[in-house]
Amino acid sequence: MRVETVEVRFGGVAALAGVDLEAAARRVTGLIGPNGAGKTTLFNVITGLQAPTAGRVYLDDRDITDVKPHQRARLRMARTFQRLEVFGSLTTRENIMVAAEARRDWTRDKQEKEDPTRVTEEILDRVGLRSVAASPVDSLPTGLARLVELGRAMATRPRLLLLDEPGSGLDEHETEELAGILLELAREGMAVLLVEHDVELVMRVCTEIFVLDFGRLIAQGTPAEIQGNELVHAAYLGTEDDARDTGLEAMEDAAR
Amino acid sequence: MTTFLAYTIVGIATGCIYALTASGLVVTYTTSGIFNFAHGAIGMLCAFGFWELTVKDGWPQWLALIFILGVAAPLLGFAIDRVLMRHLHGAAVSTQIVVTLGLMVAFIGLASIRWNPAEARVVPEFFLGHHVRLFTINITYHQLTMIAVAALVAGFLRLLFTRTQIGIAMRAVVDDPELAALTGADPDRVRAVSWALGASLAGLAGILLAPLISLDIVLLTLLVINGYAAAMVGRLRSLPMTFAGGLMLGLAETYAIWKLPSGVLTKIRPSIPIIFLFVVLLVLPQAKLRAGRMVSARRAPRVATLGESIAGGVALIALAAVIAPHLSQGDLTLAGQGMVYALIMLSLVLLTGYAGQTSLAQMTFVGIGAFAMGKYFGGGSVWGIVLAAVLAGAVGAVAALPALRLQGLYLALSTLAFAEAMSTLFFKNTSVFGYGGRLAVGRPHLLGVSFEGDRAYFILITAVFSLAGVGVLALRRGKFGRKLVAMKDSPAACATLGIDLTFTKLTVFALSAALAGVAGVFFGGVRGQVGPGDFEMLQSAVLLLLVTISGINSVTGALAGGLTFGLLPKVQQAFKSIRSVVYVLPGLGALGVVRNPNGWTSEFAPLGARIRRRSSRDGGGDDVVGPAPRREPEEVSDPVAVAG
Repeated sequence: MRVETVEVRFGGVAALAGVDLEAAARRVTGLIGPNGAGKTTLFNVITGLQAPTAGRVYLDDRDITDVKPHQRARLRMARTFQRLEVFGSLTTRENIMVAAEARRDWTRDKQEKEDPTRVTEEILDRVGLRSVAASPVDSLPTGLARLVELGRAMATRPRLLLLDEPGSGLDEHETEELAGILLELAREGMAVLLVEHDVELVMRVCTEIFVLDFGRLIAQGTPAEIQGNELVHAAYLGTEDDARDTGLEAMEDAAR
Repeated sequence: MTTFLAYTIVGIATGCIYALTASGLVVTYTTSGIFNFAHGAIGMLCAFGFWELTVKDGWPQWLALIFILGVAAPLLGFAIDRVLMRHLHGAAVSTQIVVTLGLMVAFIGLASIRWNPAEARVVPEFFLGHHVRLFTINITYHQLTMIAVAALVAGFLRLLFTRTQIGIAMRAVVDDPELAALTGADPDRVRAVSWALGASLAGLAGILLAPLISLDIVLLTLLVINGYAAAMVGRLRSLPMTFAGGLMLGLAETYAIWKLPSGVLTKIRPSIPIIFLFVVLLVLPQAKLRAGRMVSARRAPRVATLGESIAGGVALIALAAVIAPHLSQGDLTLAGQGMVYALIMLSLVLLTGYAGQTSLAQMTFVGIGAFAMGKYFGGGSVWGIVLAAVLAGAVGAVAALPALRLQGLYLALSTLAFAEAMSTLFFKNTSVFGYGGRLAVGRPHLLGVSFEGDRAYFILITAVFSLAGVGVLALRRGKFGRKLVAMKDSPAACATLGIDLTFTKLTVFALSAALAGVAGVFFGGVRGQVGPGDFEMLQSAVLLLLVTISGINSVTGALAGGLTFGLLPKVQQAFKSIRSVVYVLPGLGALGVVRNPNGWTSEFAPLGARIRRRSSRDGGGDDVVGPAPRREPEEVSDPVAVAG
């Protein structure tokens, strides 16, 4: 998946200005930046919820800029949301089931049609949601609800997975498990694009990192390169925003 | 050419009224995000108030105008915001629709208590008797007043939104309430002002309109639908476009009067604004899916298992069989009607409760079902039921078509327009229900058994409801039901899972209409005959209100709502002095939905949970269901709700 010179304008404000980014298979790609840098907007552009003012989106070299959201999903991309979009009145199991059933319905390849129940049970174990499988999701704490979104996205068997702050609300142990899952998914061949404030987590799992600030790409490189990048430090230092400060501290911790 | 010019001026005058009505709607919608279905009712109240003050109490017109538009209407708008609307921000669209609809219905009911609809009243035109002659037609001073007032209002609104602090704050609140709050504007105050202003604009339109049509409660209230079309041209946001839309509509109507042969005209004329609304909805651009707008809904009731729902159904039939012999003829009819209403409401549970889509045309589909049975099978054949389902389902799909690409509110408006159009073009057409306007619908023979008797028929309807209830619950537990609830909870997430929302919406809409069509067969059967007055949009609205009051997302709610509706005539008998109990009770009741969107039957949920727990303890059953605090282990479900 790659986006080329994507621009999004809301009125006179540019949320994204000429952003290029690529997420390759078999690795976790990081996308970081201060609050309001345009990360979620970029996710919306990639998944078709937001039409870009300019620029193109490609999947396997196919231009999908004008493809509708549900048709893009059928090209096997899935995502989670920063502001939760769970199916609150359904149970955890049903949330994942809806995705598995949808996937069986739209997949054309007979061989790929899997039994939704089996897929659901497998994912419940894999993401570690077995203990809350029968609970309505709107009764779950945020961290677990984020895992429900991850499990739901995984149930469509995507080749490209976009995760919007999956780590927020998780405790240390749960974050550890999340990191394990992400690395495993990448090993299995998936392209994972990760937006995350927990810089430590990003540094650990990502092969390549893109840094956005005020809608512009200010840096790109390996975790080591990003840690040493002056611009990145400046972006995080530039304001007194709490999130930026913690981001910076985390980065320094990770560097140590 | 001269005639054309004259008609143009008349058209502009009519259009100005539409524009005035619509501008009030737009002002409140843009600042509060709530589409006010009671807008017309506020105008109606103001017109009646104006009549009372001027005609009855002898106030001078100018004083009455100042009092109503400057004091009474703003206070009413302010109160509506304080008591109701303030609590609706962030609520589901279907809840917002029900509450403002409830307000509309309540106002209709309250107005008919104060002003007996049986008495005729006339509000005189302004400058009565004065007119200018323009080529071939007379243009009254009243019409000129309408044009002048609309121009003044347009200028006033323009100044308000561009030059004054509160006006600019109003626009800011729409874009981002939190951001607006940071700049010092108080969103609550801004919204209160906009509701007050909206109510005044509604009143102005109502008072100007009343002399032109009769001072009729329902007529004045529903005339606002014409304004909806104009507001839609401005996409509920742009005031200049709204005024343009109003003028376009007024001109279209007047030119039609001029050019169309009178035979066609009498049939089509009342529907011109509706057709206009339909067309506007068709050309609106596809609604954007938005993420990050999760609705804070109260937890949906627990869904009964297959065993529970079958047991409930059997118990219901048994109960009906036991009490039927003890009911009088009249009570049997009422009970039968109640059960039919419950069946219709079941179709709303499927559509609104599960899928989150609102229909104001459910009685239209009921009418189609009754028509299919009565017209082609007289009533005796099972095939009539099949045809009713197929025909109503197909019509339902057509009705939903224009709004499928759009979101909740627009679907509701589209069905409202459809119900109005079907009422005037189809049901009131003499070739449909015959010249007497009544169509006989008989009672079916099933499996060699005759259900002619009232008792047998009541039990049959109960059985049909039970069967449908078990079916709807089975649907909800299955794949399709999961998809519906998912669509209701987050359309954006559904799309990113590859689910085609348009198709899902169309399917559920057709299914729900088909069920309403089947109910129509029994609606006709229980009454013996049906007429055009049975299938009005207002009936559908009252039905939606009642099922929401008792519980829109459970079969129990539909049953309770249906029986309540069936019993209303009894209540009316007991309180003869209160006219229109049928409107007052559901209307006021719906306002309570602000507090609990799941309806009053859900209040008994903890009781149901306790019973289930006890019975499973006694029977040693393995499906332990009980109250669960957050994050309980598996196999323990939540405390909220019994729905069976």
